[in-house]
Amino acid sequence: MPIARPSLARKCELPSGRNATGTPLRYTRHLLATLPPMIFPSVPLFDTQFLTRLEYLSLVSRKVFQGELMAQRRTTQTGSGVEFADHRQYATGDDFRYLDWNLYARHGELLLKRFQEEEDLHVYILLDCSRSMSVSDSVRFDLARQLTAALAYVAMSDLDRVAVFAFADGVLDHFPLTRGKERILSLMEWLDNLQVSGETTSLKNLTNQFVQRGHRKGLAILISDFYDPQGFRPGLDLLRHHGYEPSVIQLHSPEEANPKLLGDVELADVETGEVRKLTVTENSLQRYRDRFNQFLGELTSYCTSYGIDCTISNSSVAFDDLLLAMMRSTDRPAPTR
Amino acid sequence: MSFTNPTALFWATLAVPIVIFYLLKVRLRRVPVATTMFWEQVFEEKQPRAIWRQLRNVLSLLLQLLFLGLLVLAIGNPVAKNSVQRQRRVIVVLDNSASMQAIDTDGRRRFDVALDDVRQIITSLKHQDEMAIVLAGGRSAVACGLTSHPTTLLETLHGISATDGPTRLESSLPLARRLLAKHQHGEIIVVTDAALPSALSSDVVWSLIGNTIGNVAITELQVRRSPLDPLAYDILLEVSNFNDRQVGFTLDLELNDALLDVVPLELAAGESLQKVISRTSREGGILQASIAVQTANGSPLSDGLAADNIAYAILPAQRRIAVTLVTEGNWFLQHVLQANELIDLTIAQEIPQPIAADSVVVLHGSVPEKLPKGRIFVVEPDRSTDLWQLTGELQRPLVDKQQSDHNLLKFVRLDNAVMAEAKWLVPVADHETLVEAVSGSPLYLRFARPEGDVLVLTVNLERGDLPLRTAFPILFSNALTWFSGESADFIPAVRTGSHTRLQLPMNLATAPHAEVKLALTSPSLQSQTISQHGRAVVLPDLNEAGIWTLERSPSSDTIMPAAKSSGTMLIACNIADAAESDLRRTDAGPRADIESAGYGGSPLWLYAVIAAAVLLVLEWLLFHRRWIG
Repeated sequence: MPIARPSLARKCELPSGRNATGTPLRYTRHLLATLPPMIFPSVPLFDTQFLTRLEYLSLVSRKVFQGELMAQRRTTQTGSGVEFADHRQYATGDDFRYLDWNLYARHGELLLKRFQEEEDLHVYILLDCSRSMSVSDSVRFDLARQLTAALAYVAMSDLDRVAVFAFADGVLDHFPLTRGKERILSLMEWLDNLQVSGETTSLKNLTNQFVQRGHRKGLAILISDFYDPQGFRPGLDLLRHHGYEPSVIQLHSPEEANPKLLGDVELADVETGEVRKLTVTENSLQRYRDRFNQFLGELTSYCTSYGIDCTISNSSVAFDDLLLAMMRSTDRPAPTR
Repeated sequence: MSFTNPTALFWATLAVPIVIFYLLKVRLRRVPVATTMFWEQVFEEKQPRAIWRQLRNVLSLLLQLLFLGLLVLAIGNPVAKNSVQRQRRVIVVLDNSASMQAIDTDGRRRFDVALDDVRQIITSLKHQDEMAIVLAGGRSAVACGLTSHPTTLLETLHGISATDGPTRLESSLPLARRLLAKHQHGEIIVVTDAALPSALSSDVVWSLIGNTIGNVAITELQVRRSPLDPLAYDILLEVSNFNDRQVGFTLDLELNDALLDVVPLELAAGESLQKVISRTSREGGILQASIAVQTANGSPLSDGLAADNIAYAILPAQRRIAVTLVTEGNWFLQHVLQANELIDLTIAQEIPQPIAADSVVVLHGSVPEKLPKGRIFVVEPDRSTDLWQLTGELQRPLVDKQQSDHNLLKFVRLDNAVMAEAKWLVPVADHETLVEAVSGSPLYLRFARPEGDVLVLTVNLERGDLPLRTAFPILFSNALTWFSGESADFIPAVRTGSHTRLQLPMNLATAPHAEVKLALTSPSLQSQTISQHGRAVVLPDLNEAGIWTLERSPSSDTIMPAAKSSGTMLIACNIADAAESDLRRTDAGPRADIESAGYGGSPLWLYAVIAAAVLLVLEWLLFHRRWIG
């Protein structure tokens, strides 16, 4: 018998006032109450098999990237590393300890030795927990959480530090920066307790709150449907401007790409609760499909123009298949900054 | 305006549930979606006008109510008051006589032109108008009674064809007037090619068909056996030229499809030529006369009507008859029978026992007390029998009464014959006196018996000049023909459209008071059953020229015993009507200005249904088209 998981749910208070579309929240809550309750089957999100597949993914990632994934990668910073990088002219104030005396003896030129500094990569996974991630079932939200866990496990396996932020119209909750594979179980428990909440998706609010926390720069993976009424650009621009390396995973359901609606219907927005009465015809359906594909095209085009990894996927695929496809499609070297 | 079906207005109450359904808000199917922003963008591109959106439902309700109103109106069948007052009653008298088969100079058949005219009348009717079709060809008949249904009229018209009968306007017009029943807006339209009558009635509109065309026709063809020679026959032929100029052509005579003669003819304008042609044949059969459609020089004959170019006649066959003459010796009797080529004569002293069924016994003088079964001709009986009482002798009898129209006395006149002596008979059985003396004594009489007729001639042949007259062999020839079962030596060729009384052959005849069904089959093999009793039959109007067949119905069991073998009689039927064959038009032939209702002649319910259909389409375009477009 399907049961909800309210006991594990982390309470997320709804903000007061008005939502992003200006609809009074009292009205919005009333409409949300009319929506069907989100009761999901009690299938474990992270079971033993999931962990086995995570291990397999970790091995595959090493084979694919041959040590270039996340940690164990060199930064462009030179510093106190042990591996020689290059020389530069000595300048006043430089540390004499790094002068290459052998070279000075041979050529009489003061050159300073530079070493490549190695540091672990900080991976921030920003997980969309807005209501739009779970419309009629939790398939998309489950896939997003499984993807989060898998990406975190791969990063932890490479000794990178991982933090996860749940967001909707802002940061709702976060799993603090952590390191080591043994922390994956805690992360999975935290993910298991997550529940969709919030009224709207606001990437701008998310990134604002995220960058203000002053985290160290690193890889910021956004897992969302990107159904932000204000658009995805402000949020991603903010991440880029603050030196983070964004990576985008867009998830959508098959019904969103190709809706099976016809005739007079009442469309209820699960986030805002707004109800819109429409007469859906074949023509309007076709225009919808065109508009949706245009949205995905704009996201892809944006990411391509700024060198951002972008994965667009249907929520009906398995998380490991999606992750393997992501790995195989990565044909450029990992970020080295 | 009034309604022919006012109870249908009750259906207007359906407006109540329509309004109730309109007032009830229909709960739309609610579909949760992740975001409506794409839908908003889609509908922002093509946003319906706010006024239209508000008015849409109200307009839809109004259209539906209007649709219902129109349907209720249509079911109620409204009729405008002024249209009721102007209701027409049209009786079309359609001439489908033989002349309507003529091909006019424009290449069209007159009957086809007439049909087009009637169709035009039908299509011009308004919905409340009534119309009937009366036929005036062959015999007057109502083809379609009064109706307002154009389809029925058109279907009836489709089933009407031209006949070979004569024009019967003199009986069709009274029939049409009876149908009209003095209607206020009634009119009779006669569509015909016949000439206008001298006195035109005001209530009749004439639509005259056809123009003047020439024609050549066989206006009479009859054939009969020669009364003098049993094997000979005479053909009476009448051919008429209805052209305004002299024409020359040939006429072919065929007997049973074998060419008999080719008669060249040259007829002046308007001339009718009568000709008698004699030939011999024992077998008889179907005689056919036909006019060649080409003249002697090869040019086509000016002939507008083909149906009157062929005529038929039936020549009866002559069968041989076995005759036994029982006499002590009479030279006249012996030689008059021997002279007949159809008789196989046997002379005997005693009555043969038994008498063959197909033979005739002639008893001269000596007769038994009880006459035997069979067909017997008694001449000058010498004693009383079971049929008569012999009371004496009659000296110098004078003929007082004679049934000249009887087949037994055809071409026979006895009133000028000198008869010196005759037997005085008093009939004691059912009999028919054919010739009676002034004294009242029968001279020639017939006893009708179920076992065979008995003819008695009481005249002494050896005293008087009767055996020396031509009437004597003819009298015997008639008697033997009567005994042989043939109706006569002349089967008249009947005219189309005429009532004809025919003498039936023995193989079809019945007992005098017995009724039997006979099947009459037309040349186009359409059969009808007629009732008959006795030896005569009155044929109904035969409206098709050609050879008709009269035969026993399978159920008939009252045929005379002598005719059980085969029962078929051929009847020749010809147009033979100068009025039908004369296609020349002497009057101007004005076409009637047939009143046309023009547009708007359909019933109001039809307009209501059309308007409802338009509304339905409009409603679909305004509202339901959204589902697919």
